[in-house]
Amino acid sequence: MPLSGEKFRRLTRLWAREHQAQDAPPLPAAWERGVMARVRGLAPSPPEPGWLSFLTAPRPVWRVAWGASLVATGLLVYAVASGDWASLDPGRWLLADPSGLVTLALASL
Amino acid sequence: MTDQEAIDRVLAGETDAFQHLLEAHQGRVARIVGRRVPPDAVEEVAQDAFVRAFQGLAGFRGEAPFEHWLSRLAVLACHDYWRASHRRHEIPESGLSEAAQHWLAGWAAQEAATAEPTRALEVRELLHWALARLTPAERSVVTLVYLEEMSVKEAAATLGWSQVNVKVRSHRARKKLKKLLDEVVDHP
Repeated sequence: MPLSGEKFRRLTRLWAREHQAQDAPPLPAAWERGVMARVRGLAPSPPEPGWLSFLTAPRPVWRVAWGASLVATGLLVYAVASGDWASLDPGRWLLADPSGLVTLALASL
Repeated sequence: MTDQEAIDRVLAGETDAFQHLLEAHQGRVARIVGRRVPPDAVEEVAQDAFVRAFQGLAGFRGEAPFEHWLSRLAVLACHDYWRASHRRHEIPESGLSEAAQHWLAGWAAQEAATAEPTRALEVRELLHWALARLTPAERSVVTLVYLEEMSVKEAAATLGWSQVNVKVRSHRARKKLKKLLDEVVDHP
């Protein structure tokens, strides 16, 4: 006959009581000296890196990604600066087919 | 000296100020660790928790009291202790004593719903026996959620897991515990 759900719940409550009643003996003085000896040989780590730290991260993958994004940005700036945008007349496009504007307005609601 | 003053001094390079934190909080850490690992491992794991605290002190932002932050490190040090033991297959899978098996089978068969099991020795033995059969992750989540009665949110924050992960793992671990006990009751 398996343990009933109610008895299992009561047993886990007893386990909790038993667990919480456990007390550890105080740590010896030699333990404290041991911890201090260990930490004297260490230095506290620097704080967690900020969200821009990837720019200076030592992992090569981030340097490559950063370099690639710089090149891509440069190409985009060149394309925008050298294009004959005035002749395209985007205002006329919008008036000819305003459905894009309507979609945009609906999407922003 | 307050905890914050000690932390500031340690971060300024005065390592000896860490002694204040050690003296003020070693009782709490010993209690947390003592409830989770075998007695012969308490000193090592408690030391590991304090060394982690020292190394990560710059990351302590003071949003919660220092003892809460340190307690979390102590819990994680215990979790890592069991993970390492599990990897090295060092967890002893000792059998349950006959006395504990008979006691559990007898108690399970008792009609009276109010009958409280008062055999603390058997209850404790069963607890250690059952925990030894869980994975390190299950053991940690069972300890926090069922033995220390933490909320799912608190357990998730302590272990650095998502709340969904805590819920799923604790549910699975509970089912596993029930199955283990059922096997003892069925085949004492």
